[in-house]
Amino acid sequence: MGIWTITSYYSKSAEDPNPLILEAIFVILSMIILLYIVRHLIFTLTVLHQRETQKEICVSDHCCYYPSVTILIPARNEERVIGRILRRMTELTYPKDKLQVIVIDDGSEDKTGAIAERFAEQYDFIGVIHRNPQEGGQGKASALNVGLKHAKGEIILCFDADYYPQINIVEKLVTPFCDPKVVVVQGRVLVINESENVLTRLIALERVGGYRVGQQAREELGLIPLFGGTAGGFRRRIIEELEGFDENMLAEDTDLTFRIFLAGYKLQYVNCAESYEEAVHNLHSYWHQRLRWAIGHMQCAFRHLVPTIKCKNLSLKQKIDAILSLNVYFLPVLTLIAWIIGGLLLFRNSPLLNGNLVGLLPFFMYSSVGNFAPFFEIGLGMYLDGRTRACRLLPLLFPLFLYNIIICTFALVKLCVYRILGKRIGWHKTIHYGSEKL
Amino acid sequence: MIKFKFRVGIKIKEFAKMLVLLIFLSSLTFLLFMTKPKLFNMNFVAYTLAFDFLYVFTLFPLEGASFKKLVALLVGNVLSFIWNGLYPSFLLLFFQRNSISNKIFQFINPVVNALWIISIWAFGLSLVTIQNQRRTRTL
Repeated sequence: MGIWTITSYYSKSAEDPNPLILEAIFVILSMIILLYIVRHLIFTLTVLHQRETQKEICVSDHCCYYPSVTILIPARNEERVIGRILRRMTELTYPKDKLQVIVIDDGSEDKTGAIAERFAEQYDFIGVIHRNPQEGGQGKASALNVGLKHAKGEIILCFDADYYPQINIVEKLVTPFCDPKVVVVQGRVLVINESENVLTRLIALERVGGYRVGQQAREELGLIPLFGGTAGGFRRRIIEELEGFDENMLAEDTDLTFRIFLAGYKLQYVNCAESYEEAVHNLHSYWHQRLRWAIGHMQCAFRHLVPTIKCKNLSLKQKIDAILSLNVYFLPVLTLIAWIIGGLLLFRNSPLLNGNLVGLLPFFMYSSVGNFAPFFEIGLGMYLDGRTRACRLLPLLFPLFLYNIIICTFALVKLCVYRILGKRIGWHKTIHYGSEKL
Repeated sequence: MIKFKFRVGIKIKEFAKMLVLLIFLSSLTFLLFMTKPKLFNMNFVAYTLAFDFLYVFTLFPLEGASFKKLVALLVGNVLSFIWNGLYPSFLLLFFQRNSISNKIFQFINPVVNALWIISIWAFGLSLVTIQNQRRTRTL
């Protein structure tokens, strides 16, 4: 019976080209998706089972390492939030004589520059760089490079204008630099406006999975934690050695991460250095933010994939993790392709998908993965934070994942078209409202 | 020589306990499949095992009453049977095996399975954990 089915299937499909190729692609895609799920399962189990022995760097009163620090705050049309972060800068517990805060007013057309100037007049350690509208608006990397030219600190920290860090975050972020091998640090990001609506709650869930479990596990396993471009920092001499941020990359943070690792340096994730961000609160802003991240990440994948494979400074497990991290934004696209092929094979009665188990396994598997962090990773992150009630929202991540599939597919198409036409992709800024109460 | 050290950190004793439970559940599921294959079909076996695997390895290591963990595990297995065993048999009363409707059902079936797995897993998590452990942050 089985032989008959297969024979009739292939004779029927003689006019239809290459069913075997479709099946082979389907199986390969399923394997890739499975690989990502295994990776996330390893991350989750690692953080879960090593939670008591975690490498938490928490600063005691006896912290005696106080290097000079420059904090860069790029800001473009951020009048609603710039005052909040600058007020926070004045409240930091780090010695002010070792601190320099630079606001890069990136060609703002609102009161951002004026608000920053008011703070600069009042506090000696705060300075403002004004860029005119023609120079400004070319992206965060460009603004940071301008700030770097004026930075005097041995350690450079970066915060976005919508961020709200802990008062002792500088101490926590500079402590790992006691180790001369560490050249970049990354703190944890949480969502300040979580209670605003369902979308902000779901973004908060993603953040927990990504930072509390994903980044922490990479740190524990000696893999590649990622620099998020904010709530983190680096040694000034390293960024000078690497000639600053690449202004052609939309994800300058990921690009820097890989340049650092490829050069043989180390990045450390500091889970207890917490900083709050304002999450986008509607699907339109979400689209633009994720599109920028997706394109930026894909640019990094094209640039760093081959050097990563060839790199002698990375161990095998670091290479595997780096390759998977670089390609993570392609995964929703691959899932979409797997679904389409799966559907075609199912409707053509492919023996591969026969018997109801439905080789739509990728569908099942990746749909449970959500947005780059599977539900179990997010759920256990919430558990470790003592907030399991929020896990009731986990099934709602599925529609957001579908939305991400569209975003990532669009990002890939846009990137390819722009590359063919030789055009530069512009920076789309996320608008912040600063409406949440503290 | 290529070095590949990977230390997740599961204790052997704890791992052995989880493995025994998983082997027991898998054996039971396969036994049901072999005795009543039409009711306890391949879909039931696959999705139940996926749920059991994730549930046992991620929720059993957490602090909390074992009884509550087992209750949520049982709820998941029963739900898997209802969705993958009973519901398709019920559908076959209305739709022919190779009809378009049946194919569409097959196509969306993995998604629905994913949704119940996530929901029951989250239910299990909130059931077994203590609510008053909300963490305080220094701002």
